[in-house]
Amino acid sequence: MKGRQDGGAGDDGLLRAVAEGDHRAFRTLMERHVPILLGFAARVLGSPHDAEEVVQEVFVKVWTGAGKWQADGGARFSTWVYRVTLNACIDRRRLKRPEPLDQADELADSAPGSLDQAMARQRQDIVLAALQDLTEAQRAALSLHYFSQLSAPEAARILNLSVTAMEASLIRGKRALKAALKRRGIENLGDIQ
Amino acid sequence: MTDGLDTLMRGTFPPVAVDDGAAARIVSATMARAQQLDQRPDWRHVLQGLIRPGFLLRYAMPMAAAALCGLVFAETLAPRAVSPLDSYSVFAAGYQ
Repeated sequence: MKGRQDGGAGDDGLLRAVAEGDHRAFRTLMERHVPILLGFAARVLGSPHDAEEVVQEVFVKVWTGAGKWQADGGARFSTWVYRVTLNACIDRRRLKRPEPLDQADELADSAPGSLDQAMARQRQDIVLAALQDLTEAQRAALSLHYFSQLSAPEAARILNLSVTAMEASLIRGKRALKAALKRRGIENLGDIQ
Repeated sequence: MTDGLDTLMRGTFPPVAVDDGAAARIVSATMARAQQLDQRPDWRHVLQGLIRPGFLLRYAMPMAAAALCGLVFAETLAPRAVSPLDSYSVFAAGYQ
């Protein structure tokens, strides 16, 4: 697995520079990841405005914690940043939680389509909770596959994986996600569509 | 090839349109915040600077010594406790 060659330094090199306070490296890192993370977050949150706030918070976290992240070692930056963004989106969804579904009868009376919205939201919550059961690599691969408009080779490039490794990660991730959904009582995927 | 999971995921999280300038807005806003964070004093570094050996020898130890001297001096100036009998004699002497 080779590091990214485009744009000069790879993410790790940029992150080392960011840890030393290099603003230009920080801008390059953001220009590389923000557009895709934005589409990703907008899809998870269903709101472009919330997605902008979440992505900004994630990169403030990158700026303040770049040194610490290096010390942790291990995970790739791209894998880490997608996990952090997904978690930030889940936290944001919790903050903006509407009425519970058991009170949805009142909602159905009050506004047309409210019940559908509440059910769609619950469906999303189930899937996001199931995603948390996956390994980090599987979650990153599946999140990019489903929440971004990227092709498998593009997603592989972002995660610094070969296309074969990405496809293997997707297959294992899908299997794990189906099992996680099954544990949540969703045996037949058609049931919750 | 799409399976049930693909259909479920794409139906559950449909694409959301994001305007073209959004990414650039995030980059500039985050750069501005990074600059603000740089200008804020890092108290950890300030404390680390304070507890350097040079600081201790040059400032902290003389200040501690001066504070100790001050305490000893104040103690010598403080009025000593007198017994009720002594105060009575003083009063009695004044009355006469």
